[in-house]
Order: sequence, then C-alpha cells, then structure tokens
Amino acid sequence: MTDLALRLARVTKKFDTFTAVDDLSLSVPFGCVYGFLGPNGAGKTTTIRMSLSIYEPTSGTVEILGHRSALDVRQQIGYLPEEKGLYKKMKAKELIAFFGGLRGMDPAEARREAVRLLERYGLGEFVNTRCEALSKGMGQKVQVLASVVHKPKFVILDEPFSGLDPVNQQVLEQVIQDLRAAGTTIVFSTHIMEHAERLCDRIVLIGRGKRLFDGTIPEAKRSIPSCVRIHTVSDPSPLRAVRGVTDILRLEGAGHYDVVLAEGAQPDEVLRTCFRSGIELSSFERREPGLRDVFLKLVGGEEAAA
Amino acid sequence: MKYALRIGFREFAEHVKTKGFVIGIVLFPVLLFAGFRVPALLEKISKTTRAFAVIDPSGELTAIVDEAIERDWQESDDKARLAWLEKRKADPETPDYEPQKRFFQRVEIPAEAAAATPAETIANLKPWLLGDKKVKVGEDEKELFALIVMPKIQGQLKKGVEYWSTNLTDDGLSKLVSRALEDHLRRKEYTAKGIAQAEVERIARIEVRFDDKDPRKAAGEEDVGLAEKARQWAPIGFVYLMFVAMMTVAQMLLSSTVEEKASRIFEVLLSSVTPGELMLGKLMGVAAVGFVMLAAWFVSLFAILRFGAGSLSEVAGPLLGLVFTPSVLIPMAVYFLLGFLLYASLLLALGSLCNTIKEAQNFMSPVMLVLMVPLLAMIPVARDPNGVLAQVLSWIPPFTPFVMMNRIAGDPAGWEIAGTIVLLVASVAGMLWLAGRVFRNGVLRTGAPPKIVELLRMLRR
Repeated sequence: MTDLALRLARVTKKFDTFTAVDDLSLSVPFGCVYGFLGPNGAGKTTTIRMSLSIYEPTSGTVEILGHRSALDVRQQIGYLPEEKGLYKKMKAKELIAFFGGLRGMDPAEARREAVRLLERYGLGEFVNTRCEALSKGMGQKVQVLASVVHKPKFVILDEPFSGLDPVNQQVLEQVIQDLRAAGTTIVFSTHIMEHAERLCDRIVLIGRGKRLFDGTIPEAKRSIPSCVRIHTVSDPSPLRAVRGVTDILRLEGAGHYDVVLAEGAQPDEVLRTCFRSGIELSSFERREPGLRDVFLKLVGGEEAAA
Repeated sequence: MKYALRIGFREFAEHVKTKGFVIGIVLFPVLLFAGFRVPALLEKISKTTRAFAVIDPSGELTAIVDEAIERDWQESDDKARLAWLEKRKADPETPDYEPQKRFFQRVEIPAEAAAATPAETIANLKPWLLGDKKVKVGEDEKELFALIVMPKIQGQLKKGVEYWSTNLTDDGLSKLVSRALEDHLRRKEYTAKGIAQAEVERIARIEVRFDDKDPRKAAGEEDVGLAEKARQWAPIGFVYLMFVAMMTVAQMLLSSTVEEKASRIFEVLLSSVTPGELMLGKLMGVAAVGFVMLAAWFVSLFAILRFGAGSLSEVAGPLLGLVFTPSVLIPMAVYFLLGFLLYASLLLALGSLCNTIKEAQNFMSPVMLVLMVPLLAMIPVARDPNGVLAQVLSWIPPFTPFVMMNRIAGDPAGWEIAGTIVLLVASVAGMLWLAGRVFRNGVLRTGAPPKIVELLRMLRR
C-alpha cells in the first residue's frame, strides 16, 4: 500500500496523432488539496480522465488509492467533471441519491444523505425540485454534492468554480474546506489562480501536456523573482544600475513600471536610488509574485517556446 | 451487475413517468376499442335516408327500381327484427322494435324542374343536385342525392343509364339499381325465349360450397373455421405492435443517449461504471419499458377481444383461444427480446456518436428503411407463411424477428425456429460487441459524428 492517493508515472495519452498528455509524472499525497493548473487545452481534463480510468493511457501507469483501475475503488472516489450536466427530469434529491447509488451507497441511505447535504449547503427548499427548474449555479452545486454524497476518500473536481457567482463560489469553497477538514484528499483543476492560492497545499502546472511545475505554493512563488512596482513621470533607466535589479518592465498606462529584483535583492536600495537620481515617485510598492505571475511566466514561456 | 441494474432502473423510471408513455399505453386500447365499435356506430348515426329521383321516358323501369329499393329495405329490416326477437327472448326488458331507417327514398321530380325532354329536366335539376335547392321527403327537406336517367327502352337497353350525383364514391344506390335492372332485363329475355321463370330462378341459385380442411388436424376434425383462418392473419397485428413498440423504445433510447452525451452526464457515469455496465443498464431499462408497454397492450387486446369485440365477437372469441397459447406466445416473446436487443444496441451505439437529436435522426433514416422491409412483406408472408419469400427473409437477421413472428401461426418447421433463434442470438452477440466498442469510444467524443472511416478505426480500438 502506498501513501499516495494518486500516482502517475510517465503517463502519455495520444489521440491519433495528437499528444494530449506527454510523459507526465505526478504524486498526490493523502490528505492534501492539490491544484491542477494550466491553460485551456493543457491536458488537465485528459489527465483527470486517465486518473479515473475513463481513458486508458497510451503508455505509463496510473495508480489511484493503490489500485490500477479507479472502478475497483469507485466507492471511495468522487468526481465532478468539467462540463456539468444533470438529468433534467430528476429531482435534486433523487439525482444526488442516484449518483450515490452508483458509488455503492444503499439507496435509502443515499436519499437521507442527499437531503442532509442539500439542507447543509442552502438548497433545503429545492430537495424535491426537478433539475430543469434549478438555476445554473444551483444545478452546479447539486452536482458537486452528487459527487461527494458517498463521503469519498478522494475527490476530483474539474473546474468546479467555472460559471459560479461569487456567493456560490464561496459556498463551494466551504464544501472544499469541509472535505479537507474531514481528511479527504482533493484534486481540483482551475485556471483561476486566486482559488488555487487560497485552497491548495500543492499545485502542478501543466502546459501542452507536460509538467511545468510541481510543488507547494511558496515554492512556486520562489521560482520567479519579486519586483517593485513604481509610478513615475521621470525616466526610470538609472535604476538599471542598482545591484540586484535584473530588468525594468514597462506596464500598461503611462509611467507604470515593474522593477524586477534578483533573488535576495532588497527593494530599499531601489528606493534610495530613486531619491538620489531625482526620479519623482507617485507610488512605490513591493510586489510578491502571485500564482498568477508564476502561471503567466511558466505558461507564457512554454507558449513562446512552441 | 448491481450498478447496471441501478442505471437500468433509473432509465426505466424516467421513461415510464413521461406523458408519452402513459398516453401510448392508454391510447392503444381506446383506439382498438373504437376500431371495433365506432364504424358500426357511425353508420347507424350518419346513414340518413338518401333521396333520389328517376327520369324514365318509357315509364317501365321506375317500378323496377321501387321494388328493388323496397326489397332491399325489407331484407335488412327482417334481419334486424330477427336479431331483436332473439334479444327480446333473452331479455324481456329490451325496448320495443323500431323499424330500420330507409337507406334510399325515391322522390318525384319537383314540378318546377319538370320539362318536356330528359335533357332539359337534367339541366333544370342542377340546383337540386348541387344542393342549392331541397326536395321534400315526407315532412323533411332533403338534398337530392342522385338522379337516375333511364334510356328509352325498346326490347333491350341499348343506351346505358346515366347516374348523376356529386357523391360518386358511395355506390350503394347505383349498384342496387343496376342489379335490379339487369335482373329485370334478363328475366324478360328468358321469358321471350320461353324459359320458365321458376326454372331460371332455380338455376341462378346453383352454387358450390367449399369446405376448408386441414390435413394436419386429427381425423374427423379437419374442418377449418373462420377463426382459424383469422389466426394466420393475427400475427400481422402482433408484428405491427412489435414494430410500434420497437420504434417507441428506440426513440427513447436514442434520445436519452443523446441527452446524456450532450449534457456530459456520461462522464460522471463512466467514472462510476464501466461502459459495458452502462450499456447493459440502459438496454435493460429500456427493454423493461418496451415489455411493460407490450404487456399492457396485450392485456387490453385480450380484454377487448374477449369482452368488447361487439359485432366481431363471433370471430374474436375462438381467435383468442388459438393465438394466446404457449406455442405462439413463447416464440413471440423470444423473437421480440432478440429483435429488441439487436436494434436497441445498434441505436445505442449510434446515439453515442451524436450530440443532437438532429444528428441522430440522420442515422435513423437508414435504420427505418431496413425496418420497412418486414412491414411491407407482412401481407405476402401471412398469405404464404412457409413460402420462399418468408423462408428467405427469416434468415436475414435484421428481418428475422418480424418475419418469424409473422409466420408463427403458419407453424413453421421446428428446425427453422431453432435455427433462426440461434442465428439471431449470434447476431445479437455480435451487435452488442460492436455497439460496445462504438459506445465506449463514442460517448466521450466531442464534435460531429464520425465518418465511416473513423467509425471503422473506432471498431479496431
């Protein structure tokens, strides 16, 4: 028995001549919230489908909860696909219970749990509403609940936040936090960096089917330099001479610049140089790189290299 | 299997709850019952007395017509009175006899239209014939249904009779009159040739009776009754029922598959069940729907034939005994199940390739064309259940279930039943295997349905 919830070893998936996932390896330890990040078409969904044995990999091995096929452990896995669909004619309660049943739950128990979940997440009055009468956001919440009704050990959510308004995004975050508190291992894919930053312990960044980064969020941030963002009417080029400044980037809007610092360089030297050189500052802000910057740098570099 | 059953149960529950299904189940017996009863009822209500006029220059033929009309009415009235008497004997409460309505009533040509020559009279009568003016029949005003113009008669009718009417499809009157005139003229001719009237009538009554016998039946009981003859035709009804049930169920299967594919429910399903379980579950669910529907139809068919056939009950009763027997019903159930699996798995595979019902319908038309063949062959096969056409079609798997059901009352050879079932089972297995492969690859496919080449590649994957 492994201590990994999911392990992909040198997995490749080809569709005819197109390579969707290319020699990808990654490890998801038990109990962590793992983010799959990457631009559209990076291979996130294909990776997820292979993890769930919906697709067979062309080469490489997949191990989920210590098994080669996700169907062997279907009772312990929950899955929310990217494209959300519901049986229109089914009632919310029945739908959740049906999917619970397919995960091995006893039908009566599944119905009880469905009602409990709907009430817990603010859908108590829609228990007996047909899915076609639910709003898009409500339908999506119902589907999330359907994927976790059987209290799985391991949950995979593909773009769970897409199409949700801020209030419902918060509810969904609550669902994820509750699952995490219950010790559930969670993998979710997203391209909204703020969610990943708030929720994930670890992330993997995928671009064009390849792994670009795998690690914790602090590690990810450290992988790109920090910078100072300034606004000035003067010419900022004297700052290039400052030790530790590697580049000055002109931003959108007149007079906005990012002064890029090498690792370990201190921003106060930049500030002093501004005063000395008579650079008139109207704003000066130290910026720690966000996941967004990591994403743009790594994915942008990959796109440019292609 | 547990998971396939859960899928199947959901599928079943969803379709059974639809309005279409409920209406289908209720509508069939209603239509069937109406089919037995309404025509007779309608005839009773709608057949009003039809007024007609005669122009008869020689004045000899009007009496013939009147006599024929009177005799025709008398016959039907006698028959009805006899039936009433029997009813009265069985149930003294039966209300008093009401004489039958007259179907036809001759009226005199209205005075204002009468003219010196037939041609002028016809011209004058146009407003009546077109319904603009009415004639008097007793107390009522009626439309002039027809005008019969007799030729001048000299020994023989050299010229034909003119029959004027806006309704030429209802030929009851013209036939009646023509028969009466022919009889009259023949009788006249016989008399002219010196043949005795009684003798003529005796000769005219000569007829040959045909007793149908079936050599397969026990000695002394070889007679074949009307019900038994109907038995050979009865499977047509069942083939038709199966066709309707199959089409209904196929539509359900196709639309639910397309819905699941279009809404991407398949993806969640496939993370919980194997494609095989999913396909099996759907087939079971929809098959159950088909069986419930057929069972409901059969029960109502049985009930209506048994208790509500009305004027057809003489044939319906014995027919029931002949058709609702294990030797007919068991092969029928087997053929239905196999035929259903064959077509359902095919449609499931096709459905898995389509994102919209419209795309699916493009695939449906060739399937429909194939299904039309056994439907078109229904009558010829029933006429000669063990003929070459029936035998050849029986061995072509897509037609086998229909054609064999069609033949079943003709008692096809045992080896044919066994052989076609084996062939059909093999075809179903093959089709399930193929459909499974297409289904597995098709359900998660996006974009337009594949071309033939892509489809073949899918089968190899």
